[in-house]
Amino acid sequence: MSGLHLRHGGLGIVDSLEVRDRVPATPARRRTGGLIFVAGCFMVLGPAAPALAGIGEGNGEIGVDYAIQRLDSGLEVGSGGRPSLRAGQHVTGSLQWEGQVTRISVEEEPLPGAARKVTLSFALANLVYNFHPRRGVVPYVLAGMGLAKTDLEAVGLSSGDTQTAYQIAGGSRFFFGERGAAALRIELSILGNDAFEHSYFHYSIAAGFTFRLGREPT
Amino acid sequence: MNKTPILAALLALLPIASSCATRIEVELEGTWHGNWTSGPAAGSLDVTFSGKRSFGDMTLYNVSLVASGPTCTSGEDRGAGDRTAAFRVDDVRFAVRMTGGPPGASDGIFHFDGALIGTREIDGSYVLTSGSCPACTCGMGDSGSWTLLK
Repeated sequence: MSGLHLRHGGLGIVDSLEVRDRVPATPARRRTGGLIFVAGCFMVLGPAAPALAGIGEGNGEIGVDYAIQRLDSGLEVGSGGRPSLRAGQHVTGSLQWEGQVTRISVEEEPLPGAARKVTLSFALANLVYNFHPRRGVVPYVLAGMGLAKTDLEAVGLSSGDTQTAYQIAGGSRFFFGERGAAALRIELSILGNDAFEHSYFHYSIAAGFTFRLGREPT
Repeated sequence: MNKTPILAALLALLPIASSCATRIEVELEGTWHGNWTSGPAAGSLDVTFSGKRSFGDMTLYNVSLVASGPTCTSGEDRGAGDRTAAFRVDDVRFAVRMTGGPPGASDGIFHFDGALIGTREIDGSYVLTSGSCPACTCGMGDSGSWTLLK
């Protein structure tokens, strides 16, 4: 049996690396075991740790990104690009509020002059929870609510509605350098909006840049 | 003056008024029969709406059209479009690409713009938006008017 094994006896106590195969542990093995233990502690405690890098408590953040978004099948137009502008403030090391405005317009034209066009404009307030597993990488999850304006055109007819918008998302910021104020931001999200007595859900993947506004976090 | 009869009459009218305010759900799906006219030329027109899909507060349909007239050498002109018919409140718009033209010829695309009258009649006008229609033989011309009944 390789790796961990059970000592003979009724209690089944798990052996440490030191007594494995009845061979005394070498210093290298002890270091490896210690590193695994420390890495495990970081993985478990990292999300709850205070800010180690990235934006920092009290600082602001501003960013732009571009999402590839698959529109709800009920909107009959497939996928398109959606630019976003975001800005917000980190209330604590982990908690952040963020405002986001974004817009997508997708058009399909099965025959000349018979286009279907969908334009969605969102204004959202997001509550973001940031994790700090290691310096320079800041994963996050967010939930947001706001308003969405839905404009539809089909074969020359047009219609519009403005109702509630909502969003859940998760992603990560990857800072350029441990002391960098700029980061690459990757995000997966589900945007939703109500319009015309329907609820529509749109899946998207986004990439962009985000910038710290304020002093370097300690 | 005794107001009781007046109040009773008003109460009796309330359900009628309420039913008048409720919009009747109109369904375009199916085949509509009618005619087209373009100047002195005229002919019959059959339009079929199918594949109903919701699109916000509009409804989209696939559409196919069969037109005939006195100048048709082959008997009829045909056109179709995939999700190129839209209906909202009482506006009906659809576009069709005419089929059957000579190989390599440009498409003939007609746009139809109509208004629903009641629940069983659509009146409107049409325009040839593609400049020419090599497939057309029935003399619908560049523009005209149309009526469909269900």
